Formats: sequence, C-alpha cells, structure tokens
Amino acid sequence: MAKNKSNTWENVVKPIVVLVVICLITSALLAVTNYFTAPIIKEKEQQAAYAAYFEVLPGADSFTTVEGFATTGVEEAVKADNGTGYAFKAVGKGFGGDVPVIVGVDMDGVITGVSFMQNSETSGFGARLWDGSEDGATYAAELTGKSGSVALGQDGVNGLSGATVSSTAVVNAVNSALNCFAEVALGQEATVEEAAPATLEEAVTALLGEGAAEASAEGAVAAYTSADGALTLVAVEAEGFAPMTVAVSFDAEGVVADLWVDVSGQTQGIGTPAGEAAYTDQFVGLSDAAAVDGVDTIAGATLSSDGVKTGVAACMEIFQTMKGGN
Amino acid sequence: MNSKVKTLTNGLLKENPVLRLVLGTCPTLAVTTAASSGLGMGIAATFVLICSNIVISALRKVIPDKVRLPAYITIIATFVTIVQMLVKAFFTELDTALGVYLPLIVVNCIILGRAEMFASKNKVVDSALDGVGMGLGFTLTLVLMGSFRELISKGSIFGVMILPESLDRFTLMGSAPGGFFTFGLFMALVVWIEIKTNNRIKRSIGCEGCPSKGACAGKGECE
Repeated sequence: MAKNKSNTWENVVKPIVVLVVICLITSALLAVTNYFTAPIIKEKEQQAAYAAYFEVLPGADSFTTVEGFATTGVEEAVKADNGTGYAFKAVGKGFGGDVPVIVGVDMDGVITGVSFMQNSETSGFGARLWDGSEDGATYAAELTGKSGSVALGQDGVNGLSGATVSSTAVVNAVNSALNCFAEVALGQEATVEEAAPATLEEAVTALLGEGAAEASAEGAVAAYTSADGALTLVAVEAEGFAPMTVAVSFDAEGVVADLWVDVSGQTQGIGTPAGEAAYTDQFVGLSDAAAVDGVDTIAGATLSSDGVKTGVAACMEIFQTMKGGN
Repeated sequence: MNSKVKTLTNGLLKENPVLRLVLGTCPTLAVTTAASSGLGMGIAATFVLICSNIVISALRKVIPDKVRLPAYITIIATFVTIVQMLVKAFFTELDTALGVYLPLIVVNCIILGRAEMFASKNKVVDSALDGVGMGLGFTLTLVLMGSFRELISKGSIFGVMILPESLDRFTLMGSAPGGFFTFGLFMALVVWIEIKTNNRIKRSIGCEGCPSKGACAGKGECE
C-alpha cells in the first residue's frame, strides 16, 4: 500500500507540482521584467513609426497623433509639437492596390516633403516610387512646394513616365492629405468621398443624377437618359471571369463621360481592380471601338479587363444605334 | 581549483560548442555576417546559458526525470524572453541586427545541450563556470567568424573600414554560401591546431562521435 502511494507521488503528483511551481515562478519573473521594459519599448517603437514623418517635416522635433478627422483617403495624421506643421499618411488607389504616401505640410499649407512607402505596384513601373530609384525622388521633389491641390500634368507635376495609374494614385493621396490639412488645421469641412455605387440603380443616379428616365435600347440590359437629356447611359452584361454589368454614360456626341462596372463576381483583389477608377478612368473621353481596344489589360486579370473592354465597346455600339435611330 | 579552471577553459577550444560539438550552427551561420552582430548574439546567448545552467543545476534533484525537457525549456525560454525584452528596450539596434535569431536562442542546441550534458549532473558553481566557458567559446567563435566574413565581404571589422576602397569586395562571403565556407575553414583551423599541439581528438560519426554520448541512454532514446 505504502509503495503504491509513493509511486503515485513520484510518477504523477511530483512532476505536476514541480512543473506548476516552475511555471509560476517564471511567469512572475516575466511579468516583473515586462512591467519595467514595456513602456520603454512602446516609446522606442513609436519613435520608429514616426521616423517617416520626421523625414517629410524636417523642422519637427516630436509628434502627437491627431484624432477624429473625417477626410477619406488619410490613414493617420500627426501634428508637430513645436508647431511647424502636420504630417499625413495618405493612401491612393493604384494599379495593384493601395499606394501609401507620407506628406508633410507646414502651417501655410505648403507641402514640405513627400515620401513613398512600400506598395504593390508593378515592378519597373509604379514600384519605382519606393524601390530606391531616382524616379521616386524626382516625383517627390515635383510635389514639394505645392499647396491647395495638385494634378498630374499641371504645374510641373509630371509623375512617373509610363506609370500613369500609379502617378494618379499618388496625386489622389496628396490631395487627400491637403484636404485633411484643411480639415484639421484650418477647420474646414472634411472632404468625404462617397462610397462607390453597388447596384445599377445607384450607378444611374451617380452617373446621370436624379430624375433619369428609362429609355429603350436593343441588346442592352437597360438604358437611361439624364433629366436634362445631356447624358445617355447604356448598360450591358459582359463576360469577364464571371458575368459583369458594364454601364457607360455618353454625352451627345457619343464620347464616354463616365462608367460603372459591377465587379462583385470577379476574383477579389485580382479581377476587382478592373472596376476601380484607376482602370475605368482610361475609358473616359474615348469615342470609338478602336480606342477602347487599345486600352491595356490589367496584368494577371485578362478576363476581367477584357470583360470591361468588350462591355464598353458593346455600349458604344448600342449608343450609336440609338442615336442613329433604327 | 584546477578542475574549476579546466571546466572554464573547456569551452574555448577542446569542447568548443560550435567547432567541436557542432551545436548552435543555425545562429552561427546567420549572425556572423558582421562582427558586431556576432558579439551581440554571443553575449545574449552567454547570459542565457549561465542563468539557465545555474537554475537547472540548482533544481537538478527536484525536477523529475520524466518532465526534465519541458522544465528545461520553460526555464530557458523565460531567460531568453527576459533578454529579448531588455534588448528591445535598451539596445534596439542589436534587436534589429539579430532579428528573429534572438528569440531563437530558446532552441539553441548549445543551451539545451549543456543543460542535459552538464548542468543536470553537476553542482551549481561548476555549472556556472561551464556556462561561462561555453559562452566565451561561442562568443569568441562568433566574433572571429563574423570579423572574417565582414572583412572579406565589406572590408570592415566592427564597422571600421580596414581594406582600401579600391579593393573589390567578395560579397558572397556575406551570404549563406560564404557562411558555410567560413564554417568549414574554421573547423579545419581547429583540427590543424589540435594536430600541432598533439591533442588530436578522433572524430567519429554516428553514436560514437556524438558529444551527448555520455548523457544519452542509447540509440533511439532521444524520443
């Protein structure tokens, strides 16, 4: 009996007790060390995170985060403690996703510096922003010194040659940053971008305005004319990776004014960029099928891009028929 | 006193953990790209080694044989985490230089190996001395290998430019293949020293040549 008891103690209880005690002591040691080092580590990490802001706003010595701003397109806003200005982490929608841009703005609203963080833009094109090549630095220098708002092709802002989509994303991000500056520093109303239309009905309102009237068009899923008759919208079903609705609004001469694509059926992150402004804006201003065909497809998303192109071309044809009067 | 000195100097050459026992190879190859990283890793690992050796030796009669591995690992992991927190707080550049290899000290075979081979069977003072000796040997090897690789791949040692700028750098030495070359070179160097001092230790493969031969109960007992 006694032997059994000691066996149980040796084989079962003692190991458990020893391990538990060891764990309790080690946990206590770790808790104590953490208590003393955690604040120091947090402060060091924050300094490192702010390192990018120091780069674009050289006169600043330390930053405080700005809370509660509403401007869309800005992820973080910090204010320099010594009153030299603000810095923003703004994001633009590029070819491959988000294009993060750090913008420093002084108290007069003038851009003091721009730097680009890692993005997923195409290597050799939009990736030149952050891969260390000179093009990124040149673009940043073009943006420095501007105020109010910036646009590609104006005022010496040339962007990256051959990477229009990425360059536009940067311009959008910089404008978001400037808008945010207007909101937090000058107290102006925040510029909040509306969410993209999710259904054809919402798209009709977004592209044509209120009061659009239905029109008839053969071969189209739907057609509408705007209340003032200046714009006509044609919607078709195109074949992408999966069926997609493509709606194009034309002015009286048949030039593409705007378009909306329902990419909800395309592969998330791969085909869905075919419906985003960065891609669809390339069709705006075109008026013949040849020009539509000339638009590039998105690398790795041929089916979805081709779906948009055939959709736009089909809408054009239907519009011509409508205008020509059958 | 002689045996104490012997314990201390064991780790420097005769039972050098990296070049003779071939333990801790992974961090050795990874952090010896520069001399300063080698030094930092060596000091961090030595600190953990000494502390864990002391604690495990003190508890050697208390920890049941069945649960010795979980107990050792818990103790070692605690010290590594403490070192990691201290390094993150006070030596941030070292944290960036060592990266993931700092928490990987937990599974550094030198520490667990010495716990099994020495600390679990010897008194506290001896175990502490063994920790110091092994740690010194580890650090010394890392610094020498790191200096060698840094000198050839970047032309500097501890950041001080030694080779003239005009000399082309052999950058391959700074990456993985260079690490293996250097490792082999240093092992050959140690064997050469052994031959010269008539201390040639016959190395065999398999169970015969395994440094854990004394602690291990036999083939397959490692499970």
